[in-house]
Amino acid sequence: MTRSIVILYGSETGNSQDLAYLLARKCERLRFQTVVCSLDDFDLKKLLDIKILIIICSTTGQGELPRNARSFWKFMLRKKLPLDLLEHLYFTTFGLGDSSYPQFNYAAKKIHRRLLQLGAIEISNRAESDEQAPDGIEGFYMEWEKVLISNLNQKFPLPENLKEIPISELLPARNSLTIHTTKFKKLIDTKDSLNRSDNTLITGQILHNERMTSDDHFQDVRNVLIKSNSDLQLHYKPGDTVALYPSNDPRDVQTLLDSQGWDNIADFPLSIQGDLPKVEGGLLQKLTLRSLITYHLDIVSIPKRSFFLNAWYFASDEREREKLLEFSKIEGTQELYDYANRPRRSILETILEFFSLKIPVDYILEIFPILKPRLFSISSKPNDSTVELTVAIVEYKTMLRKIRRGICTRWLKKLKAGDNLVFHIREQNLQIGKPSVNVPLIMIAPGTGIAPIKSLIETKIQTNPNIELYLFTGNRYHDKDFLYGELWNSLLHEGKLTKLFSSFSREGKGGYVQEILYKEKALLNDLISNRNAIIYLCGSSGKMPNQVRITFTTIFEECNEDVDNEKANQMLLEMENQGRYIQETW
Amino acid sequence: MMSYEILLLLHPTIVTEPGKVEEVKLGLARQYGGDSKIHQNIVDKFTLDEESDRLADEYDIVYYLAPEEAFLKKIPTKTLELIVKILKPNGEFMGCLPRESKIDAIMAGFITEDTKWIKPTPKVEGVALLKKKDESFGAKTVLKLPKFKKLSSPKLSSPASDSASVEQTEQHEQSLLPNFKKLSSPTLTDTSDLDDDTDSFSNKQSKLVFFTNDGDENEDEDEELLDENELLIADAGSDDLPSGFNSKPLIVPVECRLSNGKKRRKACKDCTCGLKEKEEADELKQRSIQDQVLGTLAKSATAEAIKIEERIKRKQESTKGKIVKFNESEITEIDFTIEGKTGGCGSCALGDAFRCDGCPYLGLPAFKPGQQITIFEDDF
Repeated sequence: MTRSIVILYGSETGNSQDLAYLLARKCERLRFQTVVCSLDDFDLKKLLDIKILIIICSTTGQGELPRNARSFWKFMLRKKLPLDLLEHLYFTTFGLGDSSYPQFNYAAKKIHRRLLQLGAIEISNRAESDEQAPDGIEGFYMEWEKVLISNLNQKFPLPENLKEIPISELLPARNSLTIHTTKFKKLIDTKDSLNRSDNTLITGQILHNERMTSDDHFQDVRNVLIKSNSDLQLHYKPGDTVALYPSNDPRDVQTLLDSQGWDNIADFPLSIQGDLPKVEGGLLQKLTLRSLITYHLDIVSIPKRSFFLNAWYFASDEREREKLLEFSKIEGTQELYDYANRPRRSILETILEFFSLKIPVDYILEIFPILKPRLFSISSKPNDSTVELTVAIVEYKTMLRKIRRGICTRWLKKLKAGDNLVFHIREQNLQIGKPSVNVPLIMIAPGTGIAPIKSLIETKIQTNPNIELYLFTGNRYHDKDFLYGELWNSLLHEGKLTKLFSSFSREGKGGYVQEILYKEKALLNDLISNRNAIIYLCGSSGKMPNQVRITFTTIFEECNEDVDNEKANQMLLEMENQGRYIQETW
Repeated sequence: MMSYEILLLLHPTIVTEPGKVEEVKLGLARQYGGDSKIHQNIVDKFTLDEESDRLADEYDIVYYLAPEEAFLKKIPTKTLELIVKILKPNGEFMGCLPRESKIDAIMAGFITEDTKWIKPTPKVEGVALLKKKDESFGAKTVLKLPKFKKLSSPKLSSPASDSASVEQTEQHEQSLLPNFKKLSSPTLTDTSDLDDDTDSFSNKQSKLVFFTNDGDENEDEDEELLDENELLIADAGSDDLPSGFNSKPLIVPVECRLSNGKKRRKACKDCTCGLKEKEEADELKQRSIQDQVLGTLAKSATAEAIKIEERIKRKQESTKGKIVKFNESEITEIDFTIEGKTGGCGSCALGDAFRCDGCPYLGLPAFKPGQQITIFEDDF
C-alpha cells in the first residue's frame, strides 16, 4: 500500500494553509507522499481510498467554517451518511482559533466530532490553538506536530529499507519556475495588475480617499469610497466585508531583486509548473518575476519558523547558515521571537542581513508566503455601485529604526481618486441586518469597529425606522478621532438614533466604552431582559471584548435578583447561541 | 480400567464439613475406578507448596471442592496456572469453577466448558472436540456433533431435529462447545470465511453511493442535514464509540520559565504583570541610543545630507511643483567609514541576528564597514 497522507485545510487568511504545507514537508521527510489542498478542493470520494487524513482548520465569523471548507461541511452534515463510512480512516485535526471569541475553535471541534461519529479513528490528539496565547498558534502547532509525528511513526513505521530524510538534506522544490529569456521583456503596470485569473474579481475605482482624523492626531483613519467599474450591480448587506489585494512597494521589490541578483531576469515572461498553492484573487495573467513578487509574495511579513526552516540551506556562509538553522528549531523559539516578532522585522530586512543567502528561483514559492487579501468591513448602507471603507492606517515604531507599516494600509494610503483596483465582496451573514429583526439594538463600537455598525444603523433607519438604536462609541479625543461624530449627533437630533453614549479615553475623565456600559446598567438590563435586545460588538480583539463580556455578566448579576456569577455567564452564553450577542473583532 | 491420577483440591473452609469431602471422594472413586489414586490438598497450601514444582503433567483430574460462596470468588491466576501445569494433556479441572475466573482460565491455557476446564493437548488449538463418554459425573450429556450456538438466541431451535433431543438440550441449557464471541458487536457473525479484500471492496462500493450526488445542486438542497450545534454539546461519557466521544485537545502549558532556565522574556498580549510596559520602555531606550549613535555619525555626514536634500528638493519641484520637506531623521545617510566605530565584540556590523544584547547598533541594518547605508523613511 502506498505510504501517503492527505492534509486538508480550511483557511480564511492563509494561516491554516501555511501550516498544512509545513506539515506536508515534515511528512515527506518521513517518506510519506502528501496531498495538500483546501477541504473544498478535495474530491470527497477519495476519502474511501485513503488511510490517513489530517485536517487543519480555522474558525471564522460566529464559530463558522472558513469559505473554502463550506461545501465539504455541507456534505459531512448529511444525515444519511452511515456511521461506518470512515472506519478505515486514521485522522486528527488542528484548530486555529482566538480565545477572545466565545466560539473558540468551534469549526475544528465540530469537524473532529463529526469524523469520530462517522467511524474514523483518532491517530493523535487534536489541538485548539490560540492566537492570544504568548506563543500564538505556532506554539500549539509545534507541540501538536511533535505528538502526531511520534504517533505516525508508531502506527506507520518506516519500512526496513527506508530512512527518514534528515534536515540536512534539501527536499526537491514543489514547483519549477521557468523564465523565458528568449521572449520579449514585459514591463508590468497597474493596468496589468487588474487582469488576474480569478474572474469573480470586481474592478473598481477610488472616488475619494480622505483622512478623517485631525492632522495633529497620531492615527490616520481614512474614509475610502470605491465604485465598481462594471455594469454588474454590487450586492452586500450590513456586516459584509471587502477583500482588498495590496501589492508591495516597488522599491522593496527592487531591493530584493538586487540582493538576489535577479534584476536581469526580472522582467521576462514567467511560467510556473507543478501544484500551485491556492492564490486568493488568482495570479496575474502576465507574470514576470517582478510582478510575481510585487503582487503575490509577502516579502515584508514577519518571517516565521518555516521561513528559516526552508531558507537556511541557501546561505553559503557557515555562520549565517548556523544562525538561520538555529531560528528554525524549537529550542530557538525565544531567540526567534526576540529577533523577528518583537521588533516586527520583515522577511526582506532579514534577507538583507544575511548577505550570503541566495535563494534559487524554484524555491521562491516555498520561502515567501503568498500575499493574502485584507478584509475591511463595509461602512456604507448597501447600494449597487459603491462601497465605503473606514480604515486605520497601520504605522508604529518598534526597536527597529525603520517605521513599521501594514502592507495593505501602506498601499491603500497611497491610492488616489481615479486609481483602479480589484476587490471582492465577502458575505458575512450577519442576521441582525435583516428587516425581520426589529428588536432594540445595542451597538458597541470602539475605534474602527464603527465601520460595520455605521452600515447597520443607516440600513435600519431605512428598513425599520421604528426600532430603537443604542450606540456606544469609544475614541480618544472628541475633536480628533470621533469617527462620524457629526453624523451620530445629527441622527440623534432627528430622533433616528435613540441614544448615543460616547467615551473619550484621553480627555477629561477618560474612560473606555465598557465603563459607560456599566453606568447604563439599568437601561441595558431592561433592554436585554424585557425587550429581547440584541448586542453587536465590533472592534479590535484582545482585552476589549473580554472586558465587555465581563461588564455584561456583572450587569446581569447586579440588576437581577437571583442571578449569581455562574447564572450570569450562562445567560450570556445563551444569548450567544441564540445569535443575540454578536462579536466581530479583528 | 484405566487408573486415573486425581487431585482433590480443598477450599480451606471445607474441612469443617468432613462429610462433604468423603461424599465427593466416594463419587470420584466410583466414577474413575477403584485403582485411581486420589490425592488431597488444601488449595492455598498447594499453591505455595514448593513440591508443586515437580508435578508437571501428573494428574488426569483435578477436582476443586469448595463451598457455594466460593463460586463467586475468583481463583488466583497463579493457582490456575499451576493447575494447568500439573494436569496431563486432556486432563480436566472440575468442581467449583467460578464464573469470574473464566477469562483467567482461558488466559492460563484452559479450554473452558461449562462443567470442566480442559488442558489442551499441544496440537489442538481452539475448539476441543467433544469427548465421547458413556457417563459423566453429575449431568447427563447427550452425544452430539459440534454445534455453534448463537449468543443472541436463548433457545436452540432446529425444527428438523428429533424432538426428543431438542427437549434434552433445552433441559440442560448448556452449550457443549465454547462460544465464539466477537468483542465489538453483540451479534455473532462468523466472518472468517470471507476474503478480506472482497469484503472491503464491496463495502467500499456500497459506501460510494453517498458520494455520487456532489455534482448535483438540487440533490444538495434536498439533503437533510444534522444540526451542527449538536456537535458542540459535550457528551458525558459516551460508551458507544470505541475511541471515545470526548476527544480532549492537547494541553500546551504556558511556562513562564523556559526549558533553558531563563525567565520568559516575552509579554502576553494581555500582559498584566508589567512585562509589556518594560518591553516598551526598553524599545524607547534603544531608540534614544540609536539617535545618539546616528547623531554623532550624522554630524560628519551633514554636509553630504544637505547636498542630497537639495538634490531631491529640486527634483520634487520640477515634477510636482510642490516642496516636500525632509528633516534629518527622515533621510539619513550614515557614513560608517569612520574608523573604530565597531564595538568590542566585532559583531556590530553583522545585523541584529549576531549583535549582543546591549549593542548600540541594535535596530540598525547590517553594514559592511566602509559601506554607506541608506535608511529610507518613505511616504510623504
